Amino acid sequence: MSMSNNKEQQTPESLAERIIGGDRRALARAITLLENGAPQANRIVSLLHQNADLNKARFIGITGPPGAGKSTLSNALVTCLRKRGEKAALILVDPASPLTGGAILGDRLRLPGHSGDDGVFIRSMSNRGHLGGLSPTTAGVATLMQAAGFKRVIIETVGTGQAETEIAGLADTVVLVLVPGLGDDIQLMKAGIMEIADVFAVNKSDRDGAALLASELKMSQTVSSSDGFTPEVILTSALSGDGVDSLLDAIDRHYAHLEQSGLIKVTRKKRIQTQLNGALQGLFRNALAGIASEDLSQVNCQLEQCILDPYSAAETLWNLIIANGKGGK
Amino acid sequence: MATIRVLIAKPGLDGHDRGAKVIARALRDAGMEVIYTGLRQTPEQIVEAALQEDVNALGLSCLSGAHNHLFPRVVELLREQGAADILVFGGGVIPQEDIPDLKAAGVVEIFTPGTSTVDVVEFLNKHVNVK
Repeated sequence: MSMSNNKEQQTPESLAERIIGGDRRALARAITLLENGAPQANRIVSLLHQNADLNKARFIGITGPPGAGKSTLSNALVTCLRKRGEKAALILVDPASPLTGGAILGDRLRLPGHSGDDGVFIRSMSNRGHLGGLSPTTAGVATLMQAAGFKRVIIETVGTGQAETEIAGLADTVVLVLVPGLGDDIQLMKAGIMEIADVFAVNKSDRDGAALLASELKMSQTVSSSDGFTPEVILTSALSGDGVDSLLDAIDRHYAHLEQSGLIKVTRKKRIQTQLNGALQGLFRNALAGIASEDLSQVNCQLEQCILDPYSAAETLWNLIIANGKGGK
Repeated sequence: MATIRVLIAKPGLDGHDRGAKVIARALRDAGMEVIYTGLRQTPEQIVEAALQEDVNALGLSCLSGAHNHLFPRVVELLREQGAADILVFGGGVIPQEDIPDLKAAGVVEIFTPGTSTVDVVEFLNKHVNVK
């Protein structure tokens, strides 16, 4: 494992080259640059697009409510993948505080067993206030990881409710992790997150109600399967490892279906769009941050005194951004 | 928009994680991103996590009495990996007479019982430069 760190070697060109060579320190640093919207980051990503094969990796999304066992299940999946000789990178997204912007990134706690293994790379991310289950830069980070040679990227969302479905635009296969005791079968009929699952994992399978939930899920899936694929329902116990091999097999069967049906092209297009959206949001955040602080405080002052309404204020700021874009560079 | 990233880790074998959790919460409330890695980590595990997470600072909590061995070992491993720029600080039941040696070994600050969380936040804001 090479983890050199010379400040002078941190040009986009050298970072991109080191990432492609599998340098983990370069990967870690580039992720930070991307997360922070640093100008070098966009250059790194485009260099990687030019010089690395970015169409091979399988992105697996792990989503579900808080406490369902997503991180523990991700850990068990990595153990399984390593036994099969496959490398895996993980992105673990946790929520940022709406009050302070701070975050406790505690998922790594559930993945203690992969230290010293060069075949595993784990990165925790704050959603940085972004809704939808991911952070604005998650798609870009997954790209960096695949450029570093990881053929499997596991992306674990924040604990989700009913409508955080952004992962469907990034992952090839979405695993929805559910546990017994969260409601009746009407919950399974609702639109939103239930619709994006490609595989269901009924975790904590040793608990009462797990078998019932699994059969209710199977029943609900018989009603609609638009593309001729019925999501499988797998009982798992992430803690003991029971069912995790079967879950990985089901994930791979879904991927095989994507390839055979040609739907893989659709998922890859969506992946590119998700990256584009993230990149645009990044540019917008930077543009907003580029507004001079005296201009910003003037607009805020007028807002507070009701001289400006919020919509006119937004227009004023937008015009400042445009003016900056024309004047700058 | 850079955010201070801090890893809070518990090296060694004691299970007293209240202090580490209080500090993690306080740093969260100060707007930092805190990676908490849990109990009973080896220095090697901690350093590897710090590198993958590309943190600015690394806080070590130890209440077992093994701080004189564990804290300097973490600093040494970071240096070996070319990551001496990661700021290391520590906390726990650490006798006053041990503190000078820990600082000489590269632990920038030691916070003992009774420390206000405000002091830890101020310490990090002062010493960590994110750009």
